[in-house]
Amino acid sequence: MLTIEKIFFPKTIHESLTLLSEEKNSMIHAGGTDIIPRLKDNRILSPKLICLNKIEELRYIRKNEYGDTLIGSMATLSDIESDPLTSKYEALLSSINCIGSRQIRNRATLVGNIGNASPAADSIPALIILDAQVLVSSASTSYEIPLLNFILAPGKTVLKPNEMIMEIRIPAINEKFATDFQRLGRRKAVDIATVNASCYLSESGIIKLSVGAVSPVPIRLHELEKEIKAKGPGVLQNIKKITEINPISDIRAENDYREDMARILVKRCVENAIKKLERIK
Amino acid sequence: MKITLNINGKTRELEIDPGELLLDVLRDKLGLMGTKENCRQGECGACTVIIDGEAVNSCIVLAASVENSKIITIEGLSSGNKLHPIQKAFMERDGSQCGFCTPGMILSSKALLDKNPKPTEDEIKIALSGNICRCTGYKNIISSVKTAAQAIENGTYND
Repeated sequence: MLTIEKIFFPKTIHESLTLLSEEKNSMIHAGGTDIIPRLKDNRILSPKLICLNKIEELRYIRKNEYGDTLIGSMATLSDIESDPLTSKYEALLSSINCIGSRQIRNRATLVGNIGNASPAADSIPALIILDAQVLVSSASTSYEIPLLNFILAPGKTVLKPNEMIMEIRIPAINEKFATDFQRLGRRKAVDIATVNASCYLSESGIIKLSVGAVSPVPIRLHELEKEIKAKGPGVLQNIKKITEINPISDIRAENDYREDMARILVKRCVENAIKKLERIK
Repeated sequence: MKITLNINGKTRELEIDPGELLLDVLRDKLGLMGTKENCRQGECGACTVIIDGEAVNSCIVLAASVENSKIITIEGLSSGNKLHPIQKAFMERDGSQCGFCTPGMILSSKALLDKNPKPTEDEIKIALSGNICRCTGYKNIISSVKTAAQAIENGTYND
């Protein structure tokens, strides 16, 4: 049994935001697949849990009037995998398929994967290349922030104690594009990525690259993008190192191995995205 | 706190603590020992149950959070003495050795076959990738699921 001081089951968004403001030391429970193991290990102590499970209006995937794709905070990873509205985001679907297991994905939420803010989170590079935006609300405010700026450090986001993520917005893309996601891990499931990488390539030549597990937070590779745009993808054959990353050594890999693997995964991502774009042109 | 759970088609009213996990409610309060306690991290799948048609690790689900959901445990698969085709297939194809992972494997298989009656081998592997077995090497488990899929389609085990 977990040591929980109190548990709330708000029935509306307004109720959940009010609780978050009024109840000190409270935290949001969505899928629970990250926080329940942490509670069990006493890595979080005696919190109050605000469980969103009874708020059906938060479990959605839909488009807005501008054609942006909106993913609600209670949409599970399985929901996103099977929804036609997300089917064109290949890298996002590939990344989600790597997360946990079928059992985990049936409960875990995309918003939770972001909120957990692991440097190795698989969905985050795949969302960064789509310029995903995070909608944050409290009882008194609401604002949107690019996902790229949302995560500050391992396990730390911009969220204040009285704030929660309401949805993720993927801006509409009005030209042909291709995305790819690559991941290195020790197993095909229930594993934390050693390195992950994602690439977006569009018909008009826009390229976006993001990598995870090689720096304190998942990042865009702005310098490498500029180089590829200026000199073509051939530059990837010759680079010895991606200078923008700063991997650490940990139980999963040494830092120089991560550097090597990041370079290879980015190269594969770009090559795959080029091939995919050719096929749809 | 009082909650009402729908387990294997029956509604049960229970008094639980807020932090009580579904796995513990099933085993300790309802005596349904078929759902196994193992890693308690959501990593091994031994505690798999089906909630609203989806395979879920009951060790990381708060019981209070599934009050309005339909929960199926391994005990809910058989009908009296009549085994479910997936259970029969596991017996026929030696999909079980020590048996500890088996309830979870069978429920993950059921969740798969209910949505995808003719899965490929890769689809079976993905569906079972959250269930660890230390005994069988998985080959007979995969054969069991293939056999179950065919048996359900053909009515092989219908007496």
